[in-house]
Formats: sequence, C-alpha cells, structure tokens
Amino acid sequence: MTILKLDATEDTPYVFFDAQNGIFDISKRSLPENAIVFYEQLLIFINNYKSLPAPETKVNFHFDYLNTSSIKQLMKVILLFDQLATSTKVFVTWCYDKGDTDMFQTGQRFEKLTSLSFDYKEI
Amino acid sequence: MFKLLNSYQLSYAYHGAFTSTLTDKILALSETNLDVESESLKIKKKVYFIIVESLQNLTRHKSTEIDLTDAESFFSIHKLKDGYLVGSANTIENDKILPLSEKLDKVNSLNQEDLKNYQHEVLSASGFSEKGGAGLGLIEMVRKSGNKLSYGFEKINEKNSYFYFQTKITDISANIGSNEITYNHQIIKTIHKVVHENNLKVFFQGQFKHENVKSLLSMAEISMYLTENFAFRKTAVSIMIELLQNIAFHAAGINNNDDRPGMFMVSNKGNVCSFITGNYVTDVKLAELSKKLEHVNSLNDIEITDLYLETLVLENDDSNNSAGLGFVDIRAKSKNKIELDIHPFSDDKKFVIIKANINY
Repeated sequence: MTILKLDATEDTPYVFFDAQNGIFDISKRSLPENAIVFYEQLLIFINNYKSLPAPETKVNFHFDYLNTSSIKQLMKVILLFDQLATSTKVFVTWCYDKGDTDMFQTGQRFEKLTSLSFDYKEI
Repeated sequence: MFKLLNSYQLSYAYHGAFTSTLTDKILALSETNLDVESESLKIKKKVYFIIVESLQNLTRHKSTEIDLTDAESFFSIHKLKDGYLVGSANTIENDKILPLSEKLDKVNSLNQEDLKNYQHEVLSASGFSEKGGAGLGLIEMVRKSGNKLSYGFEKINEKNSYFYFQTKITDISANIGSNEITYNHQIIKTIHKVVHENNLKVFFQGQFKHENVKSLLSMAEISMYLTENFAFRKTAVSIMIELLQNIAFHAAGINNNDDRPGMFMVSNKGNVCSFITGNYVTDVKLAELSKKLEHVNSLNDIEITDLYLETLVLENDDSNNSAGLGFVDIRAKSKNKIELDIHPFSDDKKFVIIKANINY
C-alpha cells in the first residue's frame, strides 16, 4: 500500500500519506473517542515507510483542534519521523490558523522533544 | 445553584443570542440526547417538534429593540418523570402582548376536536400574521403535546416585556400520576431568573456519551456567547473538549458502568469565562484526581510547560486516556488554577465539580 487517504470526519482528521512521493499530510481536527485505535493505522503505515523511504520526506500538519489523547498519539507519529531523519531528509511544516497561539505552542512543544526543526506557517 | 436547577429537572438551557446556525446545533444536540436517552420514537418526534416550534417562536416574537433582544433570549428543556418540558423566554414589545395572548387563549380554550376544525379554518383562510405564523404552530403544539400552553408576561419597561412560554409533552406510556398537573409558566420564569442572575450561558445535564459531547462542542464553537476574539475562542473550545471528554472517559456511572451522568455549564462574569463540569467519581479515582490537580495548580507557567513535555513522552497509555495530559493542558491554556469542589454522594462515590477559568 503506497497511499493512505482518510477523509476528515467531525472528530477525526484528514489524512493523506503518499509513500512513493514521501508526502505526509494530516489536517483538520482530531478528537476521537479512541485516539489509540485511530492512530494505529497511521503508525503502521509510517513504520513500513521507514524501511523504504523516499529520498525526501515532507510532513505537513495543520490542525484545527486536538484533544490531549490525540496529542499523545501524534507525539509517537512525530518521533517516528525523528528517527527517520537520522538517515534521510525530513521536512516538517507546522501550519496553524492565524491567531491560534495554542496550536502554535503545541507545535513548539513537539519540536522541543525531537531533533527535527519545524517550519511554522501562520495561515 | 446547581441543586436549584436540578430540582427543576433541567436538562438543557441556553441564554444569549440565537442565530439560525445555533438553532440547528441545539436541534442536533436535542436529537442525539433523545437518542442517548433511548426514548421511544413517538415521544422523540413529539419533543423534537415542540423544540423546533419553540425555537421558531423565540425568534418570531422577539422584540426588535437590539439592546434588549439578543442577550435576553432564553431556551430550556426539562426532562420530567412523565415527559418533557420545553420553555423559552424572550423580550416582546408591549403592544404585541394582547394579540399574542388572544391567540394563545383561543388555542388553549379548544378541545382536540375543535382544534382540528380550527386548524382547517386557519389553513383555508391562510391569514398569516405579520411575523409569518398563522397560529398553526401553536395549534400543532397543543395537539402534539397533549397539553395546554402555559405563558406569561413580565414588564421590563414602558416598551418591552419578557414573554415566558412553556409546553409540556406528556409521555402517555409512562403515565405517572395524572395529566391534570398543570405547570404554569413559573418554572421557566424561575429558571430564567437563576440563569440570568448567575450569568449562565449554557447548561447541559445528561449523558456524556461521545455523540452528545460532539454536539455540545459544535454548538459551543458557533455560539456567540464566546467573544469574537479568535484566540480566546480556540482556547475556550480546547478546554471544553478536555473537560467534556474527561467526563465521557472517566466519570463513574450510577445505574450501570456505561452510564455517564454529568452536567456542564458556562458562565460569563466580568471578564472571566468559567467552564464548569459536575460528575460522579469513585473515591479511588478521586484521591488520584485531587493529588493531580493539587500538583498542577502548584506549578508556575515554566514548570507547567516542563510537566507537559514530560507527560507527552511518558510511555503509558494502555487505556484510552492522555496519561494525565488533560489537566496539564487545561492549566497551561487557561493560565489559571483549576478549581475542585467535592460533594458527598454515596459510600464509594462523590459528586465532583471542576471549574476552569479563562480571563479575556
């Protein structure tokens, strides 16, 4: 499977992973009842990708709302890219709505816990 | 205050400006809540109809004086032992009182058979009132609810009054006691007063299942009671997400394990917006919770960020929770201490009230 595409719902995010081109987009809101179950498929996909990554990996986040259980799972996602960054190029873009300082800070906290450097975009 | 509201079996109340999108969200919440409460299809349809009509009345009859109207509109749903009560309060121009009362009295004076005839009469005459209604809504309300409409007015000033209105839907299958108990508009008047005096914006009491939580959140997002300030609105909704899901994930049931009874309210006083939740917690969990809150409250902004990072990489999430990140997040975002209030309930459970405040 080289593509994972999930449409956004009221409480789960839009996901577009393209392994061949090294594109990983997650956006909208993430507040599912069971974040572990939702993020499991994402983690499996990224783990597989790590064994045969594209020359460059572009990760884009743009969240509207995140509950803390999603934040916990997202940390795992980001840590996988952090591991990948030791062998290939990984670019992380953290987008947030104009004026959403909470979401900006969430990005900064993630960044602090990795050796990645995030590119911030206020949209 | 909660006890008082509880004594009126209040399940939902909103006080503030009503827009059509908000009305849609209230309907969505009512629908999911009726589903969660697993009411029969018949009563569900009736209650839903009355809610729709009441909300329409609210905007139809409200006074056009801008200063008064928006902030003063009020809507509530009460779950009674033998049915539901839907109430509303809004401002109305004094000169509109007489025609409206005449219409209401007329509808109330008729029996079911007469109502049917009157309905045909109105339909064929098609004499629409100035604000779009032909009184058909009121006729249907009496017919569907099986009860008379209670209403009353209270003068605010020379130009305007409050119009209190309530409809009771009796669940005939429940048939507890007789249908003779007439509720006058005092209930809605009292509740409106309490809500007004305590600057309450939203009140919800019921099951905190995921579906209800979603409806409450989408309602909050578009509500005008949250200021126009974008950053504030984001913080407020994020805090609500954590507080509401907290109940859905951790609250103790009373009747069974799937039960998630609880209450949620938003109050707005001065420049502080407070989010209050109340739910049952087992003594075992409460000890943990109190310790956690005490610790989180004792930290300053820098220490909170450190704790946040520490908790984020903590390897323990076998259950679906955030390993305690929720309160750290609320504390960090609200920049205020989280208040905890404990009330005795049973041998192994307490009723716990948690309050998060945001200044704006």
